[in-house]
Amino acid sequence: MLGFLTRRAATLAIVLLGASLVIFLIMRALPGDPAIGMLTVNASPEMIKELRAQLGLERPLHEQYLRWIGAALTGDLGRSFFFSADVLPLILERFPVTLHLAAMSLAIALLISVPAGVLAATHKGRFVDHLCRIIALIGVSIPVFWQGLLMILLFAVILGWLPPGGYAPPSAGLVVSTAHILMPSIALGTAYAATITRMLRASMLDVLGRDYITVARALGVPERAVIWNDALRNALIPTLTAAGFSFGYLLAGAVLTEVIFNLPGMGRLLFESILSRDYPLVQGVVLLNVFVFVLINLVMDALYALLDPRVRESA
Amino acid sequence: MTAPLLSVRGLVTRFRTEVGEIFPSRDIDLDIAAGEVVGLVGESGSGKSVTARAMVRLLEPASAIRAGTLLYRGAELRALAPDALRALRANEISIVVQDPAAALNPVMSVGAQITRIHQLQRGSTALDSRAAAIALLTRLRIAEPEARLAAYPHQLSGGMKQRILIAMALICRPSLLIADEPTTALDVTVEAEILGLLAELRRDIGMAMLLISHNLSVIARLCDRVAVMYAGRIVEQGPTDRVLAEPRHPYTRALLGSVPRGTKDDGKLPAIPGEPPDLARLPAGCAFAPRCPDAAEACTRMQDLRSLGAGRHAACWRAEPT
Amino acid sequence: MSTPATLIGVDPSAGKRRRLGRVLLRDPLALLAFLFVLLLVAIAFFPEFFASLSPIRPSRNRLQEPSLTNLMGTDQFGRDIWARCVHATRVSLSVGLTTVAFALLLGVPLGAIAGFRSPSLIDAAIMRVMDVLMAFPPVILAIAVVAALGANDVEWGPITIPHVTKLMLVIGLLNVPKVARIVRAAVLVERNEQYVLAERAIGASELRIVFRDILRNCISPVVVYATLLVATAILSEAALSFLGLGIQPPQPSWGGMLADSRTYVMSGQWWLTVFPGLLIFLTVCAFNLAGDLLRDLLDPAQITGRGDA
Repeated sequence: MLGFLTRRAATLAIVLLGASLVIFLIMRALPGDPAIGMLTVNASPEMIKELRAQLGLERPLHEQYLRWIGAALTGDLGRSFFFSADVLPLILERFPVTLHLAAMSLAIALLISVPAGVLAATHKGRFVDHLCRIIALIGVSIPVFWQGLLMILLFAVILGWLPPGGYAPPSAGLVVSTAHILMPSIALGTAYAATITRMLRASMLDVLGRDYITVARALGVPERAVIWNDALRNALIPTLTAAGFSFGYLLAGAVLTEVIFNLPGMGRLLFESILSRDYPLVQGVVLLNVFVFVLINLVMDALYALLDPRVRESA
Repeated sequence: MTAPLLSVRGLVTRFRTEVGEIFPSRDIDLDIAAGEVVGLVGESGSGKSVTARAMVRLLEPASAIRAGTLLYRGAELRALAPDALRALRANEISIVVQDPAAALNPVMSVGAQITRIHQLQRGSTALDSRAAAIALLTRLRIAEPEARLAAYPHQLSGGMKQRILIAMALICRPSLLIADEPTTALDVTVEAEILGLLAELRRDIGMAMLLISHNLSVIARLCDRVAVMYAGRIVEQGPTDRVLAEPRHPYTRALLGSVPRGTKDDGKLPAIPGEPPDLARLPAGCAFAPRCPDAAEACTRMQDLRSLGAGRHAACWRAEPT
Repeated sequence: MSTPATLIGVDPSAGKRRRLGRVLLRDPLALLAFLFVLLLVAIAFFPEFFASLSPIRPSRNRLQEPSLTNLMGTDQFGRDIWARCVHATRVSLSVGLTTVAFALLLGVPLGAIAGFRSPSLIDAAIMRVMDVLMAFPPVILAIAVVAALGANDVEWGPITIPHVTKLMLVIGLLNVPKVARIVRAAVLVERNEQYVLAERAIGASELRIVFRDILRNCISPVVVYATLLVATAILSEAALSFLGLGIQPPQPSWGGMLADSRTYVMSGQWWLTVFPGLLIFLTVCAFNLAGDLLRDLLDPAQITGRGDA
């Protein structure tokens, strides 16, 4: 199992390297001068030149990339123009908020999707199944930013039950913190839940048709154990892998959610840094996002190996 | 004469498919006495697997059984509550299926799969179940049974997997075992071993068996009586040696004639002309008539299983009584 | 999908057509989805037919609630929201469809080559590049690229790329890996079939084998995924427009309208938010339903997996 994980980690490290190259190329090699973008249209040629030299833009491309990557590996992601501070600490400051949001969303998603997926599969064709499928379809099709805005309209403006935005860390009190994080987590979590429900339902249906389920029933295993133990353990495996992959959507959705609900997280930082043309910051946030995404996939692989004994020995 | 262990009368099963309704079992009557081995033989698509499972209410969905009485030790299976039915599983009625690779849960150790049946259905402790499992695996001639218990299905060979399946089915010492093509997926050498083990264990436990196969030599080896199925009906039944030596139904005759004998006659494998019938579009009379060399006008009427004496039955008006 | 129709002399598509008709009649939701898509296409082609008021001319009827004259109310510049929604349809649909077309244009050949040549260096190389692209949470890379390129038309030497095209290229590129994966998986299955071995035996060129015959049998999962991809593309465009990186004002776009509505949420002008979002939702829903329906018909083996945002 350790061998499997090390191999996966190596592959993912290569992918990460490739991604960093892509990010770099996007920022540097595409048409348009970042220095001009950062100043204004009215900047004088001398200012532009000075800025370019300061950013190291005059050096050959590969050198710029290596310097950036080398610095990144030591934890130096450059300096933000807008905030006049180092990029990495800036991001790490915002990271707990996004983490809080992601964790809550994940929890809500799993709480909804696991029972829903199992129930839809075991009651296939009946009312519960159709209901779950329709709700899943809605969850998958509804734009997360629209859902967020609607929730604000309903729960904050019309009903006044919840605050319309802002963030309160758990240290400020659990009730207050949850009140602020609840709507964004639901908005983000339901979309994720819908995806997982669909996957789990399909997976369960596949598994429930297998011979070993029939044999278990035929030898007297009670139905509840057959479904929640025998079937679910097998059905979760492909679902988890795909869910890990879908986590990327969660990260992407976090950007939109944080913007709408005014949460000071990594996602909103990305958005703000783009608006202010703060390229080092943009690079840093995107890189970190990719890093987190890759890490999540590695965790999913580990879980996968944990659940499926066949994988542990595979080449 | 003591009452049979399992007595089936008038069993009818039905499935609704995209191409129409099909009846894999039509008017099945069959008795299995305690300790007896009954064979159920027929081509693929004859309905034998469905019928066998329906006989012990192992068919999904439950609505597929349309009619029939299923008396197990005198109790009507169709009237049993789900819990009472479940209590019969493994304790009284067990099943071994064809493909051991698909029949074992890939994420559970084989030991867990065996012992939990014993724990659930016998209410025994983990320790006792483990001991019983080890004893049974030893009996099944598996080396190092303790180590084997911790293995996962994908780590075992086909023959080993089938032995595990048999262990799961027999750990609670049932009175009736449904063996659905237990050796079809195995190599010939392994097949012989498994069949031998089954025969031995059956005698040890004093178990009755319903052995389903399309392979006549397997049937000949193990079964006291045999029932031949065609297109959902039993067309002939009787003591195995008699039926195989003197078949009374044209289909049985054709089956026996098509078994390769290993002699070089004219090099051609005799096959039954025509195709197995489409279960959704069956003729009104005898289903075998289109392929029967002796078909006549009378065959357009449905043929019932007639008693020919000496425990033999055949569904053909031409069949001569003994 | 085992043997091509020509070898057996049977036309498998006839069965599929019949089934499509039957399924549509039996499943009212699917029927609704198809009709809705048709309606959208009609609106996209002839917006003036569906909305008489101007989508961009400001008026003095600002922030009016929905009424008989303005079915969906008016926005902060007095523009009729229904008209804006209608005119936004064309852009959204065309972005969605073009994006998918682009993803297919690149993804299908890449996937086919990778699958046909697997296992080989070129297969590994292609799939590694795909992996790198897939390591990006979807919208984030789009945001980064669009941000880097700016929200204007781009001059690249002699060519001017309008912003909308830029959008479509970026979103399309990001979805190439998934298309490639699906095609590759399907090709891997197909190339072991009898007819491929037969064609190789008679010496047919590889190019012909791949592009004429194998791909013909791989169309099903691709069609299913393409439909679901339209839904994703429309959502992506809406998200980007919402963030101000997509369709630029004054051209109406659903996402952009939602962004504008944020200012007015707290003061309760709900119609600015509800209607544009509803349209995005219904459109995406329709395409997802259509994709699901096609999947049930064409790809019961579920090679496509699932498609969503």
